Amino acid sequence: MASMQQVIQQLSMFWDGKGCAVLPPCAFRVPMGLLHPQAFFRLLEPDPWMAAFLQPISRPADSRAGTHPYRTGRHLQFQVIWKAPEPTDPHNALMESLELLGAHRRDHDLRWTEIHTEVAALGASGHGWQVELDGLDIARINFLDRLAERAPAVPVVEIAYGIERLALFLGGAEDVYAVPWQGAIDQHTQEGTREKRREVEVELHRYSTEVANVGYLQQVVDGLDRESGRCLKAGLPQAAYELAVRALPALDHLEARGALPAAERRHWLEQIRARVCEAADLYQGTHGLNEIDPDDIGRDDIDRDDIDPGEGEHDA
Amino acid sequence: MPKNRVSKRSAAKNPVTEDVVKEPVTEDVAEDQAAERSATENPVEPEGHELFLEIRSQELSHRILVPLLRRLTTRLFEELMSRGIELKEILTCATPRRIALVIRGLPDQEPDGEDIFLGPPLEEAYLDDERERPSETLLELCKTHEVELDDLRETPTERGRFMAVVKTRDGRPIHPLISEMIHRHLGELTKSSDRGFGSDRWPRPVTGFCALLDGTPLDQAFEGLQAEAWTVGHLDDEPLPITGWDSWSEILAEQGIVPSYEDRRTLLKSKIRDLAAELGGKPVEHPGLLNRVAASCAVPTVIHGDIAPELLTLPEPLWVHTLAERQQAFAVRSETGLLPFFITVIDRAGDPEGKICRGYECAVAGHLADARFFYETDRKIPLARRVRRLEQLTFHERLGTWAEKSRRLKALVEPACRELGQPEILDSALEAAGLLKADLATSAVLELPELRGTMGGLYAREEGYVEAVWQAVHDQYQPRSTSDPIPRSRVGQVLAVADRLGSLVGFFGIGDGIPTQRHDPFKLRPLALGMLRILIEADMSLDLDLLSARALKLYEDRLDHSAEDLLKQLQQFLDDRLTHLLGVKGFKRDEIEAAKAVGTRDLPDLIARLEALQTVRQREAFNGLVRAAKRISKMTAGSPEAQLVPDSLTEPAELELHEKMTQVSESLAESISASDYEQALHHLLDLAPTLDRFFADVLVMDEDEGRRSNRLALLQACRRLYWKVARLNAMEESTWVESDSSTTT
Repeated sequence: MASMQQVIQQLSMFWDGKGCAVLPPCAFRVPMGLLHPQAFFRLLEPDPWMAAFLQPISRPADSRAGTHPYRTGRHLQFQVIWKAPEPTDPHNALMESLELLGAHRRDHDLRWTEIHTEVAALGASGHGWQVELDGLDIARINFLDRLAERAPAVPVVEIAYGIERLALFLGGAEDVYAVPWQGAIDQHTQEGTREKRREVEVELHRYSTEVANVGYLQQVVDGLDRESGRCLKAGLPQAAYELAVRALPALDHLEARGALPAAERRHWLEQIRARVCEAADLYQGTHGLNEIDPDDIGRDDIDRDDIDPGEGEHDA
Repeated sequence: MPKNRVSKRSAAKNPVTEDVVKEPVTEDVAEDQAAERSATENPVEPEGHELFLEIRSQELSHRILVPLLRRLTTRLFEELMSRGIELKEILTCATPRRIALVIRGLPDQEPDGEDIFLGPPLEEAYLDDERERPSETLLELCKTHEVELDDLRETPTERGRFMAVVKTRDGRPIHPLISEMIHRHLGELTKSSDRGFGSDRWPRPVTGFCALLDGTPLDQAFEGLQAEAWTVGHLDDEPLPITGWDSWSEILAEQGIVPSYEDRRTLLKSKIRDLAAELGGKPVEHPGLLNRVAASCAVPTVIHGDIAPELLTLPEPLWVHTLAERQQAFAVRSETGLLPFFITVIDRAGDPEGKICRGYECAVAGHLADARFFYETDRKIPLARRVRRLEQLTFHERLGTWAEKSRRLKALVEPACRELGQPEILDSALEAAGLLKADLATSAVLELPELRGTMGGLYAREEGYVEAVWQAVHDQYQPRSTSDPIPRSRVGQVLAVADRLGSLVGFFGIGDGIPTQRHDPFKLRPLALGMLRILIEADMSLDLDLLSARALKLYEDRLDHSAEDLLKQLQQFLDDRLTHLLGVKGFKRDEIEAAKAVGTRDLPDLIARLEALQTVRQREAFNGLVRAAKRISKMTAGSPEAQLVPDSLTEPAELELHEKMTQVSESLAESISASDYEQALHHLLDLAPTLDRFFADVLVMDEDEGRRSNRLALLQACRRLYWKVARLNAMEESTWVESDSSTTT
């Protein structure tokens, strides 16, 4: 039975072998790995950069109070970001890594489905594929054509794996709560511990749908936004970016609480995007990177109010 | 000066086998009876040379592959045709991991041809009529092509006659020609494809390339791969030598690969049906699902998986929709209800260990767990309380929220019920109007928008609303397609019409909402057609103009266009849709014109008139009436309304006509007030012989002004009579048909 740890180790080794820096994750929970501040600023620079990291993800609205075999409010993604003048072949690299884990066409029904991705808060969009393993999407690959509302100077490929889902489907556990963390000697597969894992999910679900204080969350969003603005005024783009995107989890909680009307959500995403773009301008300005052609791709199609909903949601 | 090359045969019809190249379209499983043409079986062996191409790549969807394949095929075809090479056969096919193309029956050599380089149009070629002073451009043309003025030819084109240089070209042997063409067209193929990892690359990595001319590989590379003389099977990369289409087809068949989309579709249709029968039921059809599964595999294999029986408590539409949209899986139903199975398609020969099936079962269980979660969450809050959430949901940024739309709808329901003469349904209609859009705020509909209406109806039924109310909510978006039925109940019909009319008025009132030939951003055409269908099929007598004016007022000052403009445009738009719809329903153009010209705003009344025309025109005597009507309308055209003085009528024929008209007039009025237009037309038919006699015996344009005016008045009165039924003068005379074959096609 595949364990979480095996999947994470194998992916780290594999991408290490491809020349990736295996980094620590973004220090706060985010709805997607691409938001990692380090990644964001490296992508604004023209130099090649390859990194991989395990990212804890939080999407309260996805929580099903522990009743779902593989959809949870919190999970882990393995994120690869690959910026190179000529990305030699990310498709094959992704396929190789999946085969290494045991997701091989010979044994499984593997499908690649085109997806289009929009990350409104980052002013980013891209197209790519999601990989379905026996009917479940377990990874995706994205070719970014826009970030912070500008065309990347160097092609950017972004790959994300759903760790729990991979381990679940390769190992044949009953649900993600039963997936062992560390293989045969793992204690967590005992029923009690599995229930404890589920308990966390149920609790967080109750918090975000019933208990969360709407007024407080609104203050958080508003406060972070103001703080981000102050940093921009002070010429601190990296601090401003971090504060701006930290509002996203709070917005997600508001949404799960049913307290975020679509118009308001759109407003906040636009606000965050504005901060993010301003931070990018500022950063590129201070580092003399402004000669990078600011976006000749149309800006009109950026208003979709969705943060990339991640795997499982692209099949619409 | 532009040098236009005119191809001599560019207008020929494209013989590409459309069945294989066709993109998946949305249509139901049962509807497809299309004649199958297999790409793998071809009994006729055409003479001549064969070009075979195969591009293998990592998995791609039909949506991407088929346009690429079609582009390549069309370009090759067009060039070959323009070179005067008649094509005997082109076959193409696509699976997710390969596309293939064969052109057979190529001649040994391309025929000698002509290249035509167009110069100026004839009228601009010379500065004088005697054609002695050539224009600057004409001289330049000669210079460019190194020919004398005398060598130029007058050449007719679609745009008129041009002066041109015509050069003869020796036909090349087929081998170098094809090599060169393939090189050029493959090079251009990916130029405009914008997906993938580089601008000019195939969208995903190419794994193999095969290009054979009479079995020999061309000296040609594609995406860095040299053309080979082998293909590979489905799951491994073992080279399997081939010599062309036939051996390729054989090898693929051995591997279980079905290269043609149409073949896969047919095969899967029966496999799915058979498997469902084994499970004790039938597959539940879902629009477009069969097409999607057929497009996304090469080795079509069906498997079934189990679903936990406790999930059977989910409403059927939610279950079926979740399986189809989230997992490309079919639900299975027996006579007594859903069965706890799903059927899906995998792209491989089988699943001996059941590993794949277990994966699918887990994936399906997850999606159904989602569905159950939404269903249970939704039922915690009654619909009536959800209505408040509509205040926050935008219908359209210019037209306000869904809550506002609901209020406008309510305000339309009352006059609509009154006009229909059915005040007894008003209470139910108002109650349903209040709930109508509530399901837009439920999580099931937020997740699966296609289930709007359906879910609201189900929730309303569970909450104990009366049948008229929950059915109205359930059916509000019907008809969703041309084959979909209209809402079941009168309340549902009234709401569906009022809802659509409100939207039409609103969208007509804002900027770019009005549909143009190419652009219908708010899908108003199907919306309008659906509305008209309801009015006709439910036999609803509603004046749309009145109701539109009413709807318009409800928007207050939100709309851009002036009320008058807007209503006029909307009326014209609806009128065009109506003409279209009536045509689809089998009425002839002249019948529609004649009946609509009466100006009735009541659709059932219009239909009654049309049906009468359709029936009565089968009678031979009808032609006589039409002829008379045409004659009358010609004579009375332009003349002012004259006053009839019955006492001044003298001729027997005119007296007879007057008397007959007086009789007919009474019985006609009776038939019309009973809406019996067939009877009414028969009364008019009675008039025809008298009219014929009148025209034979009486000169209308008499020299005496009094007599002339009186006879015109008589004809005008006659015209008024038949105008009460239809503008018969707009009808065509029909070839006489037996009266029992009353259907029109």
